[in-house]
Amino acid sequence: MERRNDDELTAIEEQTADEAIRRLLARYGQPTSVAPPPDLTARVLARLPDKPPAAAALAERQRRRHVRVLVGMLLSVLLVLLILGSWGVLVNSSGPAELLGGVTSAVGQLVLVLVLAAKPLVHVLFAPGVTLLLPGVLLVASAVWLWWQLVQQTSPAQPVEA
Amino acid sequence: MDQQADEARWVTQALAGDQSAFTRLVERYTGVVYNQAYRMLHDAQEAEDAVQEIFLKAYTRLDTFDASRRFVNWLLTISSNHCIDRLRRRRHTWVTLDDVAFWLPSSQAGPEHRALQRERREIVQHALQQLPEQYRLVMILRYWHDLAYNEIVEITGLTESTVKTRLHRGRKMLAEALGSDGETLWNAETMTS
Repeated sequence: MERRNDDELTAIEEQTADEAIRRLLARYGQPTSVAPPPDLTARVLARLPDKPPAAAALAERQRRRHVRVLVGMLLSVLLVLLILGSWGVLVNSSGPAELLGGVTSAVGQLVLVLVLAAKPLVHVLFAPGVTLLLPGVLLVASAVWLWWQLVQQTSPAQPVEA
Repeated sequence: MDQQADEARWVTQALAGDQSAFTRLVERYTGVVYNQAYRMLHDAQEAEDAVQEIFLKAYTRLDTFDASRRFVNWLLTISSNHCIDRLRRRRHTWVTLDDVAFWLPSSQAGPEHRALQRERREIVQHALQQLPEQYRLVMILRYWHDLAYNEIVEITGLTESTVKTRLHRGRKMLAEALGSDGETLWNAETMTS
């Protein structure tokens, strides 16, 4: 039978190749089992939740939903601050407060405080040197991450093969 | 078949809230899952973390287990997907201390033969890491877990044709990798015999 490509073997060729690789591995003492650490089972069991699986699955889904909501809220707050700060820098500080009841109302005062707090952040973002600042921050962050990875890579003894 | 029936019963009991039933499954398969994780990830610490996460996933997804399947195959499915995800999340390939130790000549006193046996096994593990993860996975399932093609199909969700293709390419790549590393070992064996 004509092969369509080199990766298609006949049953006999497949068996021959299978046996050949097994012989090759046997030359190297493989396959062997790697012994897990003696306390690994205990650690696995300790990490399991106390609840039954269905309840644990539900708790996990709820936890993920809470994380998504929290992240969404955080991003929304940052976005609002960015908008208010930009408004304060580019237009005027009291504009948003006046739209929401005036600078003397409680809401208006809160908004005014947020605008004034956000203005420095926006100034930093629009500063002329920010294009130089960002690579510097990234470089420092990368160096810290690299250092942490190298510390983590001081690995314990590799497992003993049977 | 009895083993499969036992495991199906344990799964049912675990779903009902009997943790000791799931404990039996963990005790039975920790070694199997660890071996796969270690062969895939080539890092003992990472393999240990992966094993814990895999069993945690298995626990929370226990209701999806189909009792007509072997439990170990279902577990290896979760394990395979988890290891592949972990490998994809690795952004850089770091030189580990084991890689350095692999290259350095041994300065330890002791039987040369034992050292060469250890090095021989490490050569295979090192060669395995040179395979792309998709080929490495099917090679491990076939030759370290001794699974049949249909079982590998079940675990990976691939077609049998794709499994065979990946095995074929994986064998070639592993043989080439062992060919170059094995020559070094052959020279070392010749010098110490």
